[in-house]
Amino acid sequence: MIQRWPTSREEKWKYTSLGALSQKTFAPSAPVALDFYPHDWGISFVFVNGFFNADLSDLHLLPKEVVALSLSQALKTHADLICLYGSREFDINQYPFAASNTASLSDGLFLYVPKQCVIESPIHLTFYSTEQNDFMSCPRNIIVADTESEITLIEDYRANFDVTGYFTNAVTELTTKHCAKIHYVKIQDEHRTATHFSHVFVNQSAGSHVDTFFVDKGASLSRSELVVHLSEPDAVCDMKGLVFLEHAGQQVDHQVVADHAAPGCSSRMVYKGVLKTQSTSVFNGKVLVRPIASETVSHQESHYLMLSPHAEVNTQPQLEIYADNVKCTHGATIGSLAQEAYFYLRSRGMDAADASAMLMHAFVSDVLSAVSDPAMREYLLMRIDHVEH
Amino acid sequence: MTNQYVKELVNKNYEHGFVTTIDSDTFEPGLSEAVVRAISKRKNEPDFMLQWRLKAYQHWLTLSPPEWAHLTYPAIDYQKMIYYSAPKVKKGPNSLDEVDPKLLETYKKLGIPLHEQGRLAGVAVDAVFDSVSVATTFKAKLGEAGVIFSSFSEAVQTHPELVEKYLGTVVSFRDNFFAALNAAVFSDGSFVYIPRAVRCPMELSTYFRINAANTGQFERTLIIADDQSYVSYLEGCTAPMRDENQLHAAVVELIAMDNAEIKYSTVQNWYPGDAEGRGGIFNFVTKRGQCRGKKSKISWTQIETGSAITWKYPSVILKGDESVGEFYSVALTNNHQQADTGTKMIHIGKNTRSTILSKGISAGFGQNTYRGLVRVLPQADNARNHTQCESLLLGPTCGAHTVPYIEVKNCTAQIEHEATTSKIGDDQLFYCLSRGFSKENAIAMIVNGFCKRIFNELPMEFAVEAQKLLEVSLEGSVG
Repeated sequence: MIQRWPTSREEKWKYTSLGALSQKTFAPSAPVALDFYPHDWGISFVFVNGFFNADLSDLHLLPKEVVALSLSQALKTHADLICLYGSREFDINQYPFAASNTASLSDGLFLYVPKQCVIESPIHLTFYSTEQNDFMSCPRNIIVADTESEITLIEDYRANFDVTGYFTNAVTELTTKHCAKIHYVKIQDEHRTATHFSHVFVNQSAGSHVDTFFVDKGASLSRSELVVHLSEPDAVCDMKGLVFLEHAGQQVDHQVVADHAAPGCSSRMVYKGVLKTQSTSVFNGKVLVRPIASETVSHQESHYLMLSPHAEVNTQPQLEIYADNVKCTHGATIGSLAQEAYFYLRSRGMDAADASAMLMHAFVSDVLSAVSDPAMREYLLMRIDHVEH
Repeated sequence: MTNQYVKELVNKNYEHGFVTTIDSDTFEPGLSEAVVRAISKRKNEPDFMLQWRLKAYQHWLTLSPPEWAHLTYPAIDYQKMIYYSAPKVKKGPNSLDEVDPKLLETYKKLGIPLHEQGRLAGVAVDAVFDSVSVATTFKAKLGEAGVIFSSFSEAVQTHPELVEKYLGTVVSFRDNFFAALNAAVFSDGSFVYIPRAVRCPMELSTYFRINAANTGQFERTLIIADDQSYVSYLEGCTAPMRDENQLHAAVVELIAMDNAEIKYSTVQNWYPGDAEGRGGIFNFVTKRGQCRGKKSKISWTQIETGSAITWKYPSVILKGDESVGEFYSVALTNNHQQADTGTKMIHIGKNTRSTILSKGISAGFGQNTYRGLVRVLPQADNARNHTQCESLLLGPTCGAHTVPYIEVKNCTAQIEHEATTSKIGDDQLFYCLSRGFSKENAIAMIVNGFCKRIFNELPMEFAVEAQKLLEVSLEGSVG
């Protein structure tokens, strides 16, 4: 399959120019020996420049029955399972960068959670970039939660301060079988000179539950495509996203699709962004309700705060509906801080910075408060406030 | 449970499907530079018009039809179409007595008050039959106020300086495929000029009728409201029932200067094709208004019930400071109709405001798409937009889609967008039924209530017509 380089004439690439990226060349990433990496909590898998590093990882909390291997290892020992679950439901050629990931994938995690296995500790995948400049890494994660199992997964992209200009092109596939649950968090805190592209494909069976939470604060250009396929009845998907742009010239592009292909499913998207500098945020959310998907309930929201006169927000909240017994809504707002609220805080003696910080916290707090696990909420808050680069 | 009632409500017959037998002056099918020259010559146009048409034609040759809309239709063969067809008249009619009585009869059948004592006294009408304007009423009274209201070809003869100054300044022939085609071959349309500080004494109205077979209709409307003036303009359209598809590619340009206001209302009822999707008009229309002056206002109201395919985005360019743009729309698709319609609000001036209220109703196999753009440019401080899109689904086989684009480059903007899609609530229906309504009446009432806010924006006579039209178009499809 020959892929064309997407241009801004294509609907999905209307607001993201690949002009600069197409001029660059990237070297393949090479494994780097690293002695120490502080893991935050839970079960930890550490990937350095795209390659799994067993020494830095901590798997002692992982139940024995779970299959957790680096993809390169799993391809040797569990090829049958990978064939069974790897991107069966998605026409990957529709996504040029996912196809490119397939063509040049480096490593990643293969995780198979067997039936009724509930893992309490979060599984934390860290993709750490260091020591090499202008490289490209293509991690691929295949996660399968079998019937009635439950996991929490954090996919975390970070970088050392001295590494520049690299390109991460990641693909993650989540499969939930009957009544399984995946709580998925993705934190994109790449170096501010990096380019980060990611695809997350979710395929949900009957009665399964997936919630996704995307935090974007790093990279000069970041684009995430989240494609959720609700392929059997009564599946539930809850998608949330927070974007914080503090560096001039940053751009974050979210493409989210909820594809209702079975009756009685529900989906919910809530994306919020704060643009503090001359930066650009794109949100393209689409709810597709196929003719068979009656009794669909879908709700979509996007809200952006523009705090810089040079910020730019482009949103496209789309509904495409072919069934009649449905309830679908969407809402979008774009604006700056409410002047009345700001004035109220200032008149109570708060200084300008504190007042706007407080209002920003209030703006994002409802998305954060939807995270049910208090420890996870704390952790996210800490990561959002923490400035790494 | 409501499906069969929706079906009954939706499938009423198209009332305007008759054909008038009339002598006409018709070109051979096909499009070439010679055809463009011939149209211009037939209209006795000054050279600037011919040159403009030729440039548009050359540009059109470089374009291909747009494919981004949520529409599927067979490719149109532009060489099989007739680009000019006019009822035979000796010269431009000076009064209604000179108009072919058959034409007058046609308009009478359609309920268009061409005679000045007609039932909608107080509305000045310009009627366009196939490609040319056949009659304009109330000229004398409008003339007293200084209002110019005439067919486009007449305006080219009598006010060439105004036409030259404003033609193509809002919708350039470079704008899109259909705008370029229209600029090359348009044969007539309406021209309105409201002078400074004049409030147009009556509603102006144009009635478009396609009659001849295999013809395309390409008309062009240009309305200029000078400083502090006001005009309300209505547009209606019908066509005979035929098995072939016919193309209608019109362009409407509105220009509002300082403190001027233009209110443009459309009831579009082109033949929608039969229940199996045979025939019907392909309606590819470019409509755009420009708020050039300070505090100017342009308001679009449209009721779209006809056409097999509708591709139409009446837009407002809010260039003047404190200018206001409004868009109110009801679009109904039944049987195999497809509509991709919406608006564009481009905020350029400071303190500009826009409101979008769009209601889509889908029944049968209809596909109804709202596509709207709200763009705030960096210099447009304090822009304000509120958009509301609501879709009603009447049946399991239709589709309703919402594709808004919001592009904001100024942090003082305040933009809100909301949309909902649902079917008629069982609770609403139950309430009406328990109060003794028949199901059909209950659904008609709920649909009517759904559209009420748009109907309120229409001038009274049109509101009555629109309400009836909606009932007719929906007959037999309630679900």
